[in-house]
Amino acid sequence: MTTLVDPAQLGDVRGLSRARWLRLPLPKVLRGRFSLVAGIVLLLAIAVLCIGAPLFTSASPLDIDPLNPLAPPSPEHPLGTDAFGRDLWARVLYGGRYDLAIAFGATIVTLVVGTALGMLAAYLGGWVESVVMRVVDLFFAFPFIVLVIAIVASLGPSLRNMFIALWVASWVGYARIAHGQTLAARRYGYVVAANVLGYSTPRVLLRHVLPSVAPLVIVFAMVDAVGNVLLGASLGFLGIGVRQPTPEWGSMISEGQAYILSNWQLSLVPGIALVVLGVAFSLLGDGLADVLRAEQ
Amino acid sequence: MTALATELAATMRTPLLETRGLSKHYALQRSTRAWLRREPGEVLRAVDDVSLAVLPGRTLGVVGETGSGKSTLGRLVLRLERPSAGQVLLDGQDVASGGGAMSHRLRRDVQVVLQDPYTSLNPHETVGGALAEVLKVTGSVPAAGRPARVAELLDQVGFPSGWAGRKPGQLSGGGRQRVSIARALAVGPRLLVADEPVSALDVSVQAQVLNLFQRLQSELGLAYLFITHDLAVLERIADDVAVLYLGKVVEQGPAEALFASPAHPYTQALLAAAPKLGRRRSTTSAVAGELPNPITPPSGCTFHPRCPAAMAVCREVVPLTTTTATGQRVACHLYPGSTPGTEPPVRPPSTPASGAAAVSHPAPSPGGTR
Repeated sequence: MTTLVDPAQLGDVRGLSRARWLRLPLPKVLRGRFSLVAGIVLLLAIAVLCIGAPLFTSASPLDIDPLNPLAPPSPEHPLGTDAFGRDLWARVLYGGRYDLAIAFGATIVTLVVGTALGMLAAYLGGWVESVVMRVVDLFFAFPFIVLVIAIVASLGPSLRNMFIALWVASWVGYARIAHGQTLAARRYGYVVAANVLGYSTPRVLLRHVLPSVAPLVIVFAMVDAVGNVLLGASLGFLGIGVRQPTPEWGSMISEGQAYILSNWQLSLVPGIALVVLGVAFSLLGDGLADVLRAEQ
Repeated sequence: MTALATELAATMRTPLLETRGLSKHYALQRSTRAWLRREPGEVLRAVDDVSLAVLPGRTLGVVGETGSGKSTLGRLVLRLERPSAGQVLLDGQDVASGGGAMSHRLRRDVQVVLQDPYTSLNPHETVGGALAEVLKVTGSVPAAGRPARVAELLDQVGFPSGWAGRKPGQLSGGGRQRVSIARALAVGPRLLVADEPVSALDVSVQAQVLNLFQRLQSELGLAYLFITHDLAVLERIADDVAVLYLGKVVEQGPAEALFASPAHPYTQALLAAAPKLGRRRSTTSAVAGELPNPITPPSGCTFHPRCPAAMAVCREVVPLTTTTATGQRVACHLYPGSTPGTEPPVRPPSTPASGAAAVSHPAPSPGGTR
């Protein structure tokens, strides 16, 4: 049996790979990835507009002008005013802060906690797995929105309690995904080898199992973030989430529905904002999924 | 000097790794009705009463069909599974009883190379990173010395050390298997458990990796527990061979004797089925039928429904292990000493007949079943 190719002779190839290794990863990751770039740009744009709201409007989202209700667009009110004479443009900008807070605040916590519990359950097995996964089943047995409403109703309506309800109700999705993927990853050769090498459980989980779990839960989180924003809006609509007079896109849509025939922009503008935020998260999710798949 | 010599002799005699009556039985889930009626649950005997020994610097090949329990045996030896019964001894010491220190020793002395080159390496780690991680975690090499040690390990397995910055996705199957071997060698083991390490590779690459295994054995004095379904691979690399069938060792012995004159009809059939250069492949399958359901194995000798030489006694009596003239240990009624002396009453008085069969019915030759 002769040696087919002596790889040491391929000096050129080696140099090439080293050069590629030294190149900065960021532009390369973004290159040719439309969804990822579009998602990031959209989300950044929304974040800048909402967090930097005072830069884009001088009006207050809360100031009532009883003499000027339901005004059409004008130089001082670019999108007109609502039934209380509040500036719609200012309300949309400031209101986005709450939607972004819900999207990130509710999602990141459940992403981390749910993934950690699911991975631990699958990796440790035994009674830990039984307990965690039966609790997950229990939560899945309830319709998600009903569960959230029940928790908010029992704790009392407030922004903080809405977050608590979202955390309690939506970690289970992440736990289930992480559990399934961890079960699969336990059988991978490199995880078995890590066990045989005597690596500690945290090291095996974080360095060897997590990289295969992360793509799935991160993509799911992007979908979940949109869902959380919509749920926050729904709760606002039902009057148990963000409450008057605080602007929030969902509650603004519900307030606007009374004037849908005459002043349709009151519902349409926050509605479009919500759609754009949703599209941004979806594009980001798609783009991240592509990147993470390419990593494998 | 003499003390050293006796110690040397002792280490030569003591197996590096030994299994004694090792078994792994999986209790299967019972139906609610069976549970209510308190019926005993079904048991899958993946590995059943297996006693093997791996000598220092030697290769024990374990061969068997899919489902014969050979991979479970490997997992038991690596302590990835707890045995239902029996022991795994490392240098004559039970690895289960020693506690933390013993498991630490096991992790240092016994390492693994697995079958699938596509999942055997973490796709997110570079080759060098994976090896440096082993050195870091085991604390065997200070940080400053790690790059040199990584290069040395890669050299040892014939992997270009300039490729240490590559990720597994950029490597061929053979390259990945070389890195897996380097990772196992990083802790300085004395025994490698190799579970089908070349089965997923192209034949030409297989030969290269087998060469590597042989070279490492002679350079480092490694012992191998080599698990495979491929007899041709074992013929090349193994010093001793154990043949597993439905979780039991049906025959074991020195490779030379076993390949020259296989004793058990199952070994004969396997050898007849293995493709060989310069011999026309028989058209009929040498091992008739399929592996029976291991949950309800056949009575008596579990091989009897497929055995060309099956006798009445095979259906009823589990054969004992006996030693043949050529030195194999075999569990088959064809050989005197395999049929238990004290017979259960159900057995008809056919001892002379079966004894005669053993004498007048020489084990069929490898090609004899055509």
